[in-house]
Amino acid sequence: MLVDAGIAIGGAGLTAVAAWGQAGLVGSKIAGPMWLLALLPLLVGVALVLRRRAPLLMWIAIWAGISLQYLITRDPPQELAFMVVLYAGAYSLGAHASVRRAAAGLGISVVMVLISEGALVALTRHSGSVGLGLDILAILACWLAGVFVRARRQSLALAGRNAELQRQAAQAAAAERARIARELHDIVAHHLSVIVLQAAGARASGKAEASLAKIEDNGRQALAETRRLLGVLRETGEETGLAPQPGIGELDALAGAVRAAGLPVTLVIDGDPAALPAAVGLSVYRIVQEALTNVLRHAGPACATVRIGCAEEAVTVEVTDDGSGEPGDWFPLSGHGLAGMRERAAIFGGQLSAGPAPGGGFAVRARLPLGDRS
Amino acid sequence: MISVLIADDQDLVREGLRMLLEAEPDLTVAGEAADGGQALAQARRLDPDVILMDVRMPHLNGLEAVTRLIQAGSRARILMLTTFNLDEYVYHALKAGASGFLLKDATREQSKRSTWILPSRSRCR
Repeated sequence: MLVDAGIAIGGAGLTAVAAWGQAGLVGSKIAGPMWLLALLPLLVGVALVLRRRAPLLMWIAIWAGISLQYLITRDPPQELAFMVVLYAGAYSLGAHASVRRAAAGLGISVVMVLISEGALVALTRHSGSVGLGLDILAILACWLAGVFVRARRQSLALAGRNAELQRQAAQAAAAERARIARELHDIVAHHLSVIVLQAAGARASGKAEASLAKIEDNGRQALAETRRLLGVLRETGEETGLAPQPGIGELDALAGAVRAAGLPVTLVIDGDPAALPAAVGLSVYRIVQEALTNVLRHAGPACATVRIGCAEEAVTVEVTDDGSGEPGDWFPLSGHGLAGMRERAAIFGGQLSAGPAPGGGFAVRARLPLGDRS
Repeated sequence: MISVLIADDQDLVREGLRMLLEAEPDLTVAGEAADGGQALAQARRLDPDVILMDVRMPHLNGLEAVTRLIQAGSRARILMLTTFNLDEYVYHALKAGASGFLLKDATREQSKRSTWILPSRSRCR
C-alpha cells in the first residue's frame, strides 16, 4: 500500500534525522552506538509499513527498538520521533487489529517496559524511568481513537451487508411472485381453452351432453387450482406493502393465526432474537410460515412445534409435526414451497433440510449462519 | 375439401377443435398429433392442407416443429394455436414460416375462415 509505505518512510526519516542529524532539529537527539542508530530507523520507522497487514508485529517491532535503545543508553525515550511513531503505531494497532489483538499489544508494551526497567535495575542498580518518559495518556488516546474508528467502520460494513441481504430477500420474494403469476397464467390458459373450445365444438356439432360434462369438470378444476394458488399467496403474506416486514417478533401472531386455523402450535424461542439482523429475522419468519402452511395442508390432524435457536454464530429453525403427511403430498405446486424455503436459507449461506421425521410426522430444519460479526 | 391436422397436447382442446371444424362441410380433420414429433410424422403421412400447431408441446415444441416442417419442404400452411396473442413465441413461429395464428377462443366463424382462407394465400415471410 502506497500510503503505508509513505507513513513508514516518514517514520524512518524522522527517526534517522533524530539519530543522525543535529540535536534540536526534531526534539532531543537519539544517542547510542552506530549500529543501534543504524538499526533504529528500521525497527521503529519501517515497521509502520506493516500497520495494516500485521499491526501487532509492527507494534512489537517499535517497542523492541525503543526498549533496546533504552537498555543501551539508559535515556528515557522522550524523542519526538519516538513519540510520533508511537502515536501513529497506537492508532494503527487499534484501527487495524482485532480488539483482542489490540489489547494484547498494549499488554505487551507494558510488559516490555517492565522487563527493560527490571533488567536495567538488575544490571546497573540504576533506577530506571522509561515509563516516565512516555506520554502514556496520549498513546492510549491514539489507541482508543483507532479502536473507535475500527468499530465504526465495521458497523457501517455490517449495515451495508444487511441492506444487501434485505435486497436479496426482496428479490427472492419477487421471483416467487413471478413464479406464482406464471402458474396462475398456465392454469387459466389450460382450462379456459378447453372450456371455450368444448363449448364452441358442442354448439357446432350438436353433441352438447358430453361436452357440458367436460366443461363443468374443467371449470371446477380451474377454480380449485386457482383457489389453492391464491391460498398460498395469502398464506405467504402478500402484504399491502405498507406494513413493515415481519420478523421473529411476529412469530407469536403467526402461531396464533395458525392455531385459529385448527393446528395446535407450540412456539419455543431460545436465546436472544433482538440482536438478529432484520433480513435474517424476515427469512426465519417466512420459512416458519411456509413450513406451518404445509403442515396445515398435508399433515391431517396434528400438532406442530416451532423451535428457534438464536446463537452467536447462527440461527436454527426447526418445524416439526406429528401428523401423517406423506412427503409425496408436499408441495404439489412444482416444489414451489420447498424451493422457496431453500432459497431463503441459501441467501444467508445456510442449509435447509425437509423430510419425514424418524418418529413419524415431518420435519423442516434450517440453519442460517450469521457470518463474521466480530 | 380442405384437410386439417390438429397438433395440441391437450386431448380436450383437440377434441373441441375437431368438433368445431368438422361441423363445416368443406373442412375435414385428417388427423391429430399430441406433440411436435407426432405432428411431423402425421404431416408426412397425411399431407394436410393446413396444420393447427400448438406452441407448447412435450418432446418437440411447436416452434421447432414448424422450422422442421418448412425445412422438409412441407406444402402445408401452418396456423399457430395460442391462448394469448401476445405470446412472443407466435412471432418467432411466424418468422420460422408459419402463416398465422389462431386464438384458442376464436369463434366458429373465425376459425373456419382462417382455416379455409389459408391454402389460397401465399406464405408470409
